[in-house]
Amino acid sequence: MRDVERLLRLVEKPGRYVGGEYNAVKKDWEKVKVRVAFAFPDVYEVGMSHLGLQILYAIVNGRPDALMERVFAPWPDMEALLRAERIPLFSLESRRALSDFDILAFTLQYELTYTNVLNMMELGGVSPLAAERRESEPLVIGGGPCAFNPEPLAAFFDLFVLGEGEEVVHELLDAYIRARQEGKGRQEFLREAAAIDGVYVPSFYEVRYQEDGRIASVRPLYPGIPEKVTKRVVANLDGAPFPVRPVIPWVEAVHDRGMIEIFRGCSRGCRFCQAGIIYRPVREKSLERLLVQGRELAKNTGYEEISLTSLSSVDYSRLLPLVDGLIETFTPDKVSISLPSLRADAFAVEIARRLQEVRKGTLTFAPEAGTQRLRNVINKRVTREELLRAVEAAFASGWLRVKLYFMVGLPTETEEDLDGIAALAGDVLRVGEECGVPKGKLRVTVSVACFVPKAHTPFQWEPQVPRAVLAEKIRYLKRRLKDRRIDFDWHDPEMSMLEAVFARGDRRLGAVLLGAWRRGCRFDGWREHFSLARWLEAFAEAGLQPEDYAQRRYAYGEVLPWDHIDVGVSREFLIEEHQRAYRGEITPDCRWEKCMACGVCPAFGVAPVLAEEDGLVSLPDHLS
Amino acid sequence: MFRYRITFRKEGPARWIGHLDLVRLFEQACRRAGLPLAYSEGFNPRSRLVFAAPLPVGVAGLRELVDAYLRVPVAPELVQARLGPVLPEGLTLVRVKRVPREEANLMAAVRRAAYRAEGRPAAGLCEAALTEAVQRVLQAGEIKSVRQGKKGPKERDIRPGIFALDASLEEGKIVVTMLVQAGQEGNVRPEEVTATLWRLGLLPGAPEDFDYYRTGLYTVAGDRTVSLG
Ligand code: SF4
Repeated sequence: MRDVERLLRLVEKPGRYVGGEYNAVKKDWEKVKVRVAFAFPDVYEVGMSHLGLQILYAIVNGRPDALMERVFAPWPDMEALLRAERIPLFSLESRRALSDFDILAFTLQYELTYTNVLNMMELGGVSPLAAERRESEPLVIGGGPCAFNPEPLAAFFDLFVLGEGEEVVHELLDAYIRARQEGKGRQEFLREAAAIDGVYVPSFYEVRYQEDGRIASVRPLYPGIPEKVTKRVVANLDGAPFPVRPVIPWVEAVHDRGMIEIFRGCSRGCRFCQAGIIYRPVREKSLERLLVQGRELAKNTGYEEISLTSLSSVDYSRLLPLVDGLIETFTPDKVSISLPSLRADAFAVEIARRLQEVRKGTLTFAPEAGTQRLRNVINKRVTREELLRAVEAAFASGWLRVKLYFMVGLPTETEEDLDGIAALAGDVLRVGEECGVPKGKLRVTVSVACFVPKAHTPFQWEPQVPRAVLAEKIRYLKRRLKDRRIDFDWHDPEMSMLEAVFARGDRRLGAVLLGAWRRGCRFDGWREHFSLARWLEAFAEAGLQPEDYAQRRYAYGEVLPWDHIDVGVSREFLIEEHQRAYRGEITPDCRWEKCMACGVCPAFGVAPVLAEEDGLVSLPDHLS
Repeated sequence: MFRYRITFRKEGPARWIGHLDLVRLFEQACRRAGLPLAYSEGFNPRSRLVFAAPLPVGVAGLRELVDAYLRVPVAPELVQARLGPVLPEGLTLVRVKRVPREEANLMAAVRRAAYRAEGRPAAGLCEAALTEAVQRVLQAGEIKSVRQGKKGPKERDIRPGIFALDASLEEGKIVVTMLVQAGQEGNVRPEEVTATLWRLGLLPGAPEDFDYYRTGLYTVAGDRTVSLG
């Protein structure tokens, strides 16, 4: 494509579109039976930081009969050129139009990328509406956390894959190849695919609504199609394939470092957190495996930073030996180790100190709420005293800046809780002064997100606070955080509202999405591109109110749009958790305390797996 | 510390990579190659890689230069054998040689760069017209060029920075070659020179129809121009 070369001169960061990165895989199209495009509906630098992409890329390209190429959302400058020159959106590896692929696989990480999904399909020559797609067009599939409530996207996808992809991707590709060889069409293939655990074909379900717009029923249309589709869990994570030769981005990624996943799942049980539910149970990898993978990754990438990733990395049972073992080999090359998230306690600070994180200057904690009462409501088990002790340890070890994450608009929140945020920030400053942090250097960043109720969490029934009220809360906090040593930043309440709409939305939203995209909505997660006005027009056109989704309290008794998606956590458990929240009761952590019978383990015949001194053990043995 | 001068090509996909990304990618490659890079002292140790001069994004480099400082001596052939295979697509080693540590810093030494621009000619264009175009540029007393700076557009005269200019037809292509000022002061970009040819109405087509190559980097010793590679 000589034409593409011409465009490269005219765009910002052309490296986003050229491919050929170190460790990228370019296969012969004629030698494989199935060609998959992995589409990340955001810009290159964001997508290339995503571990899931690297995992699936390695798995699919590891098969002799399949290939996977990458494509990212073109930045608006490139989109304009592609449209003007009538060049279809293409994959990086072989510069082929998306319409040339057999399968177009989107990862759905964030609700505000949905317009990019439609846009990429259209730019790539693929009809966005599944019902209009011809046999010759690719099969469009989706996965990732947002697939756990895929309903707003139901009209655009042929199927969704629920949960962890390592195993199901093989089953799906095998089924695809078989159907192709037998000359089967898309419908026939989908009927077979629907029989695979974790595969959800939205067109095989009929959704009926009540007069008021709530759902009356969701039913499979054909015999043999399951009433509920269950997610996939990789029981033996330690033995699962892991990409130790990831593609290294040309353009510096948002998180430009090697990643070693040390465990999956999180048992802390924060009640607003979707990841904490959908990735249950906790499965740690063995120390031996991680040491090998860490060293190989460093050797194969040359990254100067290796991140030990998970939802809560300080919780890894054998963190100290892991860190010490890796540091030993990394030191001469100045490779550093980092942890993406820190618990607010002294152990975490000690680990961070050992990792030389001090040189980055900022230590981040997430107390999430300003008072103990509200922290109990959300089951965030950190006390003011623990936090301040951690902060003290941080300042004493040389850190100058502390960043604190909070949420506003949490269920039961009052003004007192907002005051609590300001008070905590003030306390942290005071501790900094007492620890003798030089006057001009001491800084506290308060970063505030708006609460978004998410499907499958104990707070899934909760309404979101109206966006005007969220904005008022933020203004209130801003007034309370006047100290010049405090930096304050916050998430946009309008964007958070839209996120809430799609997080708990149903199929009727497909029309809104289409309308918003046609009105030019793109990159809605980017403040400079987000336009609420266009979205509101699209809602009006579809005859829907965003408030009916974001601000409505869903009833325990009603059919939720995602009720036919089964993540293994029982509805009873979620209701109990929801009620415990209102009673301000804490729920123990099943990693260390006791099983709270959330339902996941028996449902999948799995158990939490921990890395102990004598190897991996599963929870029943570990607690006995 | 032991100093090595690495000559490499930057072309194909790699030519679309900006300078800061190139530095980062080179550092990573050295680590993959297991080269014992020397690092600066301090809180944020940086590897000691000194690039001769940033290459504009989109321009291919045929003889780019970087000095690598290693903690222990390694045979240059070994550096080449280890580093060559772990570079990303479009970066290739031309040669590696030892240079004395005390020699002038590479970045400071760069004073001239040679470029080649290749493009499709419009029908009817002849050698004579090209020669004439070049003469007009070389005879100009002053050539104004506007560059986007941090504080808005800035105009300057690039004529003193053009030391040689030539244009010819080769296998049906227009080929413009030039030797211009490079380095930390008075740096002239190749497209600024070709843009002058367009502005004077002397070249057909559009700037994006041309491919650019940097073909050499030089220092100046007395009145001689000496290759750094
Ligand atoms: S079933 Fe019990 S042990 Fe398993 S994840 Fe749920 S609470 Fe934890």
